[in-house]
Amino acid sequence: MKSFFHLDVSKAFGSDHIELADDRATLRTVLQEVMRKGNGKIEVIDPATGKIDVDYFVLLNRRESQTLPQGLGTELHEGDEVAIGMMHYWGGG
Amino acid sequence: MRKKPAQSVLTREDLERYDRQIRYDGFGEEGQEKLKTSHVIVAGAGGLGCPASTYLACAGVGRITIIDDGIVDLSNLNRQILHWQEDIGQKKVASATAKLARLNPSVQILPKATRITRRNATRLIKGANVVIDAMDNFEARAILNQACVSEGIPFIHGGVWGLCGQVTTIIPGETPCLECIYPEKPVDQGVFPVFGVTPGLIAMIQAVEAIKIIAGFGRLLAGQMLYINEANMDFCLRELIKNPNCPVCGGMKGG
Repeated sequence: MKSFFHLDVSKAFGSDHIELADDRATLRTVLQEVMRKGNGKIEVIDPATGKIDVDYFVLLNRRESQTLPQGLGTELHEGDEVAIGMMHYWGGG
Repeated sequence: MRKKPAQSVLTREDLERYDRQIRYDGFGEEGQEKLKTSHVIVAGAGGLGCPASTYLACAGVGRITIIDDGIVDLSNLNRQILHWQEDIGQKKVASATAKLARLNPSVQILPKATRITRRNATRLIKGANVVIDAMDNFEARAILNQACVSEGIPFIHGGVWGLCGQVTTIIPGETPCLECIYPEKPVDQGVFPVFGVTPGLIAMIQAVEAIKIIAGFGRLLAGQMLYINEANMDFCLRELIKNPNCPVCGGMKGG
């Protein structure tokens, strides 16, 4: 998993990786686990719509999650790469 | 020393100064001439603007306009590498211009100590080859995005936060513009954390994008956003989608 957040994700997760119990994990399963481990700091899925929150992006193997035929229900396989992050970093430094 | 070709705009000193990059296949003296006769706007003289303008000046961009109405502050010095302890209290554009002029006296640095507004944006960028987004707020970026689209000037967006950053190259009429990507104004989060290396890295990418656009070689970050997280060394490219109904670029072809 690749992550693009302001916060240190490994600190928020207490780990730099996520383990999934389900062998047939979907993109939604992964994101829900990210949200659970993020303790409310990472709201990737908008609870009102069940879709990706407008402030975030999610890529599966470099492809925008909204363009996947099965969307967040897409099953993940060994070696798949999920990238999630904030849409914008507006600082100019 | 390299032999000076007939009718070149490059001097013997240029040929020596830029020798190592002139040797790059696909760039050569022709590329160097294009840089020498080019004009780049660096909008912002902070964490992004300082390193971006430094490398553009080193590379031999003939004219660099730096726009910023800010004053150097002690808290700038961890990242705004053209501003030094002795410059605190000075205008940022004055401080940056003084350093760049010493770094490469053969390039022209044009300081503009002003804020970018809807009234002056088009006038400020008119005739430039490239505009580099080195600003620190959404409003100014939106104004400059609109001005670049209307003038047909490539706009290289960069932004940072902490150890994260993003960069994309906007080519009017071809790629999504900033308004396509961010149709809504994000929440202003005020003072934010940032390590100097983050804007440094993003600004390097902005500078090389500008050089490639001007000299006409390589592949650009056009229609793609590069996200970087230095905390865990994650890099990713995200394809950007043009909004056909974009109020800024929707009427233009391409995408």
